[in-house]
Amino acid sequence: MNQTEPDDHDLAEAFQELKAAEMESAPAFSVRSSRRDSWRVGYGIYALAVVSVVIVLAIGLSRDPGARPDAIAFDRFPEIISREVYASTATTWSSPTSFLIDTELLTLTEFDL
Amino acid sequence: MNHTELRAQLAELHPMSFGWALSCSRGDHAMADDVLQNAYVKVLDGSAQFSGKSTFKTWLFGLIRNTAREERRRQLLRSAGLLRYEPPKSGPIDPGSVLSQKESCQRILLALATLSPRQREVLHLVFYQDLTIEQASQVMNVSLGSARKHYQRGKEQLRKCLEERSHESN
Repeated sequence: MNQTEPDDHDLAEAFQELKAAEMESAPAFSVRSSRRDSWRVGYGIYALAVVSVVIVLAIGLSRDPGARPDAIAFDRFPEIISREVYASTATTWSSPTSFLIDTELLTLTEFDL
Repeated sequence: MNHTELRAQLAELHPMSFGWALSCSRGDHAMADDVLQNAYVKVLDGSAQFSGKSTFKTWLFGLIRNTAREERRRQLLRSAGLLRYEPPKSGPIDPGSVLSQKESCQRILLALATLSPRQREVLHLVFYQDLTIEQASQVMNVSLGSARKHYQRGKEQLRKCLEERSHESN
C-alpha cells in the first residue's frame, strides 16, 4: 500500500500513464551471463593500474625529503681524497701570491735599488 | 531460496524492475537493460544474497540501484579511456518509441528531470512502484526522515513544474 495522499491524485495518475507506456516497451525476461565476465577483465586492468600507482606513491612518501645524505667516509677512499688535502684548512692554506702582501720581506734597501 | 525460485521471482518482478532500472538509468533503455542483466546475474550466481531482512522486491530494487551506480561509474571510466569500450549487446534506443511516447508521459519525464536524483527516486518508488516511503528509504539506503523530506520537496517541485508546463502549452 503506498502513502500517496488524496490530493496527490494528479501525480499518481501521471505516473500510472508513464508506467503503462514503459511496461509496453519492457523487454522479455532473460538472463545473459557473459557480459559481467568481460567487465571483470576491464576492472582487473584498472585495479592493477591503481595498485601500481599506490605502491609508487607509498615508496615516494616513505622517503624523508629533509634527510641529509650520509657523511662521506674519507677513510674508505684514500686513493681519491688524500688525508693531506682533507687536512688543509683555512688556517693553514696560503695563496701562491700571498708573498706580495708579506711586508716583512720588503726592505728599504730593495726599493733603493 | 534456490536458483529456480530466484529465477521465478525475478521473472515475476521483471516488468517493474525494468521500470525502476529505466528510472535509475535516466531513461536510457540500453543502459537499463544492461543494469538489469548485471543485477540478475548477481542474484543468480550468488554474489548478491537475499537475507530476508526486507521484502524481495525492496532488496532487488536496492541491488538494481547500486548496479546502476556501478554502471554510471564504468561509463565515466570508459569515457576517460580507462576501460575498453564494449558495444552494448542490447539494441540501440528506438527513436520511434521515444517519439511516440504520449505527450503526458513526455511532460512528466521532463518534469522529473528537473528534480534531484533522490527526489526522483523516492517519487518513482512511491507513485510508480507502489512502495511505502519506508520501503523506498530502504531501497535508497537513506533514513526514513530523509526519504520523507525528499518525498515532500519532490512532490512540490514536480507539481510546480507540471503546472508551469501546462500553462506554457495553454
